[in-house]
Amino acid sequence: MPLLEVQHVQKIYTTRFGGNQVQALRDVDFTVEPGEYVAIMGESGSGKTTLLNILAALDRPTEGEVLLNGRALSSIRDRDLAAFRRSKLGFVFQDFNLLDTFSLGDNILLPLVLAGDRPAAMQRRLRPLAERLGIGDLLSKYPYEVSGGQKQRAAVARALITDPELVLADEPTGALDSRASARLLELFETINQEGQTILMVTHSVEAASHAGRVLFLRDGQVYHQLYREGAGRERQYRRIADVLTQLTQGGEQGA
Amino acid sequence: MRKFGFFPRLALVNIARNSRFYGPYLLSCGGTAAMYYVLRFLAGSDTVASVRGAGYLQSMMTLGCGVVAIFAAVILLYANSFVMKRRQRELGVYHILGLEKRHLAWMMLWETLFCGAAALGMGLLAGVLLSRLVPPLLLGLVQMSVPFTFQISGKAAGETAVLLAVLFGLTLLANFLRLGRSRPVELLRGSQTGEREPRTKWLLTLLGVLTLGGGYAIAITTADPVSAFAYFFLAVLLVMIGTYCLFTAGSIAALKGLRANRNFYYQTRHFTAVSGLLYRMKQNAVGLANICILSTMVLVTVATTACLYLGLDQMIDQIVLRDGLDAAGRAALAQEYAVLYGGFLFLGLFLGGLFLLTTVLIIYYKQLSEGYEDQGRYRIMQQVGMTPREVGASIRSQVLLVFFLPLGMAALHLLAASPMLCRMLELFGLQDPPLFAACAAATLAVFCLVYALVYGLTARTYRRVVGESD
Repeated sequence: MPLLEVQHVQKIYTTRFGGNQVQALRDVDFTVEPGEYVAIMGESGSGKTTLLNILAALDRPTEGEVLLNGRALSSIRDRDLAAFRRSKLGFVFQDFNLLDTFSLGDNILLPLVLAGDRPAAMQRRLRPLAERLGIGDLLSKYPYEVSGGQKQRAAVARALITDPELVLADEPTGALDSRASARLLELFETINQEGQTILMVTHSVEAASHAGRVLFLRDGQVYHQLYREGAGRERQYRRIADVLTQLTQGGEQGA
Repeated sequence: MRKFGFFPRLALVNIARNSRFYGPYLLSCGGTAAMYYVLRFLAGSDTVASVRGAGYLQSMMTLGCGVVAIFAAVILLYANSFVMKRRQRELGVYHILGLEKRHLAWMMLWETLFCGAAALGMGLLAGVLLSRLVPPLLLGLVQMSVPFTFQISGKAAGETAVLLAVLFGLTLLANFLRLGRSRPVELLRGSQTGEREPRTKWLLTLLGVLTLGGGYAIAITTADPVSAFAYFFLAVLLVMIGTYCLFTAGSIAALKGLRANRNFYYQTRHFTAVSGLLYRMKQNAVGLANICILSTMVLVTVATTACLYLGLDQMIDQIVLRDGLDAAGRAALAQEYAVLYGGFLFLGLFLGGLFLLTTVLIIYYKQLSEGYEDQGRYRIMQQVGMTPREVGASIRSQVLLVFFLPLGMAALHLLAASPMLCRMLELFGLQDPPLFAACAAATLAVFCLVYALVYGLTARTYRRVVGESD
């Protein structure tokens, strides 16, 4: 069974005062199998963030359905959404979104505290995860004391600590320099190889070339898909760049 | 567009758009203006002058005016700096759009003029209204049945206008200075620097505990009235030092202690509240200590003046007995005392009310500004999976603590001071602890009521602010 099914999702916004109607997503339809690493690319205004918000249960589609492991998001009551998000999904944001009033360790533990876990059990999960991500020594430090790359790795740890079914990432390398960026992308590949399903929205061709599949959004629809299928990263990079060129030059719809 | 009408209109639009901040600001300016008018009116009023022992009353009114002026300055400058800080981004946008600093200065001038005019207008209106209602109250207190004719005092109005002009002029000056020193980029980006975690100051905490304990000990154990009077100010000093130390250092030590207790800390409601408070305490500690100390002062003043007034008969009886006065002597004494102590009580109530207004306003603004700072944090927490109800609970417990901690401590101070105060009242010839207890309890009750009202209002606004997106 596919892990994630996005079925003919449509999202229309009416601006305030009932003025214009903006169709952010027209007809988005795709599936993600367990263990896949998918990148979603597209120009600004193609609907990437809207789609991510809907997948993250932060917003509801106007039409269509999203199913996570066969369970429809629309069937979840509003007041249960937060708990659902907490336990089934993990997020990584571009701006890290770490809380400055907590140490890195406490930031990572936040989802578990919200879920009501016991302190001892939480610590047991934290230690090995932090070591794996290379921030084991930084747990008592505060966000203002560490570098961007370290903050993002803490954010990744926070996303992973609940053992989510799906990790959603919104431009995770956007605020990082090239070295930290490369390190983060390697990390994503590693955790994907260990079985974690990852869905990443990005407009960095570099980032997308690490993924196993790339979906291209244009004007609210899936315009093209590109499977990596064992191709080397450089080759994949070129293929993606070619598709993007076609996208911006208004090429025909691909298979 | 004529250049003439542009800045005034812009100023009006700014004030209207920021009504959430300017509303309380103008209300409190108007409130203090009203009080100042009333006191000035009473000081210069013929009715008051005709009362026996008017000298007492008039000098008390003048003293009261001085205090009101000081508080008015505090309110205006504090509220103004708060509002201006909130408007930094807006000013940055104006700057980027092409308004130079001198244009912004011109705009601020108009804003200050409008605010000043509004405050003066509201203040005088309310003041005139109050001056109709208050003098009968005063005359009732001093037990004088003198006919009271209502009049509007142009002199008092003029003096109020002068006070407001000076104070608003000061705020305008402060704004100009700030504008002159600011850089456009900073204006636009606003204040995003995170605070560092405060360090635990064990020595200061210990000092706080010792001085507070010492002050309490003196207050409770001093047995005879004369030494009570002598040691009063020492006790007050010790308690003040202790309060400051405990609020600044002790609170942080306590919160860190809570944080170290893992079973307590890692629970949903405590997790965000404790860490949030830890950051907040550093900014708020001194302000909260001030509120606590001033609250105590007012509670003590109002309770003792009320007690003295209500115990007048007792005091007079004592003196009649001691000096062997006849009926006429007693009547004269009674009248003089009524004026003296009635005046004290009036002043105590008046200033107590003023002080309460100030405190409540300061707390409201503090909470509001923290609400804005917390917007981002709560949004992140909701994205990570905190339910709106959990957000509400976390906010509630933080606001509750910040509101009632100073009040609770002030109540404690009052309780500890009661034995000493009763001893001191004996010097005036009043030996009635139950009366004092009743007065203290009643004063505290009214205080708590007002606090609770403002707490409700603030918590609601805070929640709304946090719920809005940027």
